[in-house]
Amino acid sequence: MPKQPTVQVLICGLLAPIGCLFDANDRCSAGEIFDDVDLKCVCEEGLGANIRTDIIVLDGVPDNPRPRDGCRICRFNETLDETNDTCVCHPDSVVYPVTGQCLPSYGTQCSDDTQCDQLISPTGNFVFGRCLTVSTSSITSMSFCSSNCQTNADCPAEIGFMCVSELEACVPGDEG
Amino acid sequence: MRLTHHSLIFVALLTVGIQQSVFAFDHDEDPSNEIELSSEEAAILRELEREGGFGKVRDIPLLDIYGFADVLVGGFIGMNDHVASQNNFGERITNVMLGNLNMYLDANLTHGFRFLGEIRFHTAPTATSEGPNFDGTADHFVHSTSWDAVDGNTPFSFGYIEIERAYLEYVYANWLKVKIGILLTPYGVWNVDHGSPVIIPTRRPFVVASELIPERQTGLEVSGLLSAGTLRIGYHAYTSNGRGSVSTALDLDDNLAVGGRLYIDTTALGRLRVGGSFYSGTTAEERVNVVPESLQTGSPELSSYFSIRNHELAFGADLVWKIAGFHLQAELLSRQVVYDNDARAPTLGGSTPDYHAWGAYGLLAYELPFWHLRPFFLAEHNDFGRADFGGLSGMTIFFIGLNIRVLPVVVFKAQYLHVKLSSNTGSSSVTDPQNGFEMQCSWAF
Repeated sequence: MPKQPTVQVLICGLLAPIGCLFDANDRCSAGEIFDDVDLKCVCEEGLGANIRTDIIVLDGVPDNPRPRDGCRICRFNETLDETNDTCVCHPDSVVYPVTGQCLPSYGTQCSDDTQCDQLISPTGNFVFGRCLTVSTSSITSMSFCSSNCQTNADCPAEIGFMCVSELEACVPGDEG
Repeated sequence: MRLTHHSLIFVALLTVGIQQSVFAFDHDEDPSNEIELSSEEAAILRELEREGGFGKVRDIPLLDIYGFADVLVGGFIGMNDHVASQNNFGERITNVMLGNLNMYLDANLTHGFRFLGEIRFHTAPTATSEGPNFDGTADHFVHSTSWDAVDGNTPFSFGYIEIERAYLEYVYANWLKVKIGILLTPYGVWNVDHGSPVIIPTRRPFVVASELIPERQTGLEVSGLLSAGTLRIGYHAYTSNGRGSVSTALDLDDNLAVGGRLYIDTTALGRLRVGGSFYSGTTAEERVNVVPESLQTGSPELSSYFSIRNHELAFGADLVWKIAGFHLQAELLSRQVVYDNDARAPTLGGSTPDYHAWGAYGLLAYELPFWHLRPFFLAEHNDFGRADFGGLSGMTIFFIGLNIRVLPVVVFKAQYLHVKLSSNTGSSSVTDPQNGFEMQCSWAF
């Protein structure tokens, strides 16, 4: 249990009638622990920070690193980077630009459909076949191997793909 | 010569504006005070009256312009690279820098109303350090150079201006005054009365400069002073947008901050003042982002969220005792910050924990009976309560120096300072003690 320095205890004691916001035993968010060497909150062992991946338009503090929102288990195709306390894409993966998900990269980047014809999912029950280009207007775009779909059942759930009806294509989903 | 309305107003303002109010930076005014006019000023104003349109003389707001400035020479000696990267002093012991150039605009609007504005002219961004960055690198100093197109495109450095305060005050009586606008937070000794000729060392203690209570706020303040014999009791109560990068104009989370101060002042034993202050509010930083899912629909939508939000509670206690040439001054400040769980400020490889920072300083000075020499000693300690300033957890500073008031409005200062840094990681590159020497000339005008 972290020890609260004497002066803080005294100050809080004196101010008890008014209230003391600070609790030395509860300094971090759920899934985080207090690192009393570096004096910061880090994710519990085995978890990585959930870094917000949204596309920032306006930011009051633009130089700051991206905000965190708690900690989570690293998803499929992610590994834990303990130095930075975050889940990062596995070296064999690439970042999907819209959601920040890690896209399995077994030959996934492509320029036309023929490059995806021979690509199958790890369990062998799914065949890719479509080179899908995802454009995020002027911000960024990428092409990767996918497949046409109507429902999630048409996609390889074992690698976290789901069906996006607007695209009629399988893409890495939130659940990973 | 027949003067036009505009030229008369200009002459009147210039003439009256020359009245100097040195050190009267935040003076208490009796609402019944009349503005004393010289015979020349009165003649100009009578002329204005004859021209018509202005009514009585006292209906014309009169403006005082005054201010203070200082120049600092000095720096740190033998500073290591890590600490040097945290500030823009480095090892350059012969730095010469303009510290403050502050101008006050003080207008008695009559009938109990008064306007006070204070503007600081900065040389910044020139020479401010952009680093260290989160990846550990530090960029070079910022240059703010432009070219004067009407003078052969000669280069010049431009600087920022800062509104230190700007408010309208209504004085009903000494026991009830109301201010609205940008206000210096009433706490401690050297926050409202912050002119460099008043500060005994070359700078305010870090405890004060680090804003454990916000230096200024935008809002409404009620204050007053009650007297009984040698005893005076003063109070301040305020509400504001609180703290935050845009708090001069916005209260992002619609949660007004509140605070106050109570102090007792007596002349029974020298001059003794004891005070206590508090501040409670929220801080929020907002980001606006594109909703990712909306990109796939072809009509992007925007949403916003708080990237940082916390609640804080801060307290301060202060004491000033002047007796028989001695000046004893001390402050204790404490700040508790508790973050919303989904909006903690990110740090390198983690996020900022809830923290309880505190700091205190004590100053002892003695004015010798000749030449207005005032040797002083100041010791302060700061506990940041979390990793701050590149991994530091605390800092202790000792100042020893000499303050010489060569004129009522001109003060020379020289001081040696020893800085002890602390870090929980125990890295000596971070915590090597630092020594510095500074001289300052400050003056009021």
